[in-house]
Amino acid sequence: MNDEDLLFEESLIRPAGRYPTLPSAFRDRVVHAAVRASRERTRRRRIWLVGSVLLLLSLVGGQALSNFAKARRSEDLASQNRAEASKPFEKSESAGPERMAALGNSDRFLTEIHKQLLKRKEVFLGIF
Amino acid sequence: MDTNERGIFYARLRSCAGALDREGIGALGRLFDLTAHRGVRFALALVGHPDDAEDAFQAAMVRIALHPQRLATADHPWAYLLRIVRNEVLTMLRHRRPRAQLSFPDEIEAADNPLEDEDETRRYIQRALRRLPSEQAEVVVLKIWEEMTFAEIAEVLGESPNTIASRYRYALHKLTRPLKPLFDEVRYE
Repeated sequence: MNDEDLLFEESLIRPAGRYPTLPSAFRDRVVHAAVRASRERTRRRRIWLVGSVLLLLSLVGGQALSNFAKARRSEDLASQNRAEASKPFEKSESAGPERMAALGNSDRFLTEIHKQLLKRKEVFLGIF
Repeated sequence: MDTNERGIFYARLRSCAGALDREGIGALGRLFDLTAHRGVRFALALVGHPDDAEDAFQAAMVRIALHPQRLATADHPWAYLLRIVRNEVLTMLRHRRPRAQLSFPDEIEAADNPLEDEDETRRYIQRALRRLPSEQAEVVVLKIWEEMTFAEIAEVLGESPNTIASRYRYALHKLTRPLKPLFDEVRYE
């Protein structure tokens, strides 16, 4: 196909490109659809905005509440510690079960040593 | 449409796009008046059925109304608008079976004397175009009816100008056979 044929074919096709007849209501339909879509987008954006603000507020509020509760708890602990510190020292109270067990062990140890020494003394006296 | 008319059309389109961006949805009517016939004609060449073409053009207008700044800042607003129309047509074709394939039987061979009246000639050529693969038909439409350059068509279709030129040649070559009766009658008249 040479260039002349191409041009001729183009000239045949060109007049067929007449504009289509559009329905009279088409313009209104398109404009209304665009307006509706635009409003819908605005509404959706508003919902997102309000939702985001609410979420942010709830996060900040929750964090503040949690901080407040922590502060109260540490304040309670501090006052409890202060009260503990101001009490006079009492052995029975201060000595815990571990310490008592340790003391019991050492007592048994000493008693055992004492017994051994007594045996050796008897042996010694028996020799002489 | 000569070069001067095309320049005027592009300038008016740019002005409408700017107005739509500045003034909002109220300026959409002007853009519609300027582009509807050409946009629907392009969609019709791709989709084959007037209702589908109108739907695709409407979807494109809605998209433009939602993002007017993109059209206003486009280097080539007409190419951008046609690309949106094309994308909407492709989306439509992906989601449903095109009616065009159902409603256009092979009538081309049956037409004995397509030059009998002007409307019949026009329909005959349009049917011949619809029988082309869509990627070739759209190139023919943009080249001959929109009078775009290969570079401009390449921008619309996102291909290289060389690819577009090849498709155009293939398309015209394929059209030779169905258009032969017209070809002969006009040539030997």
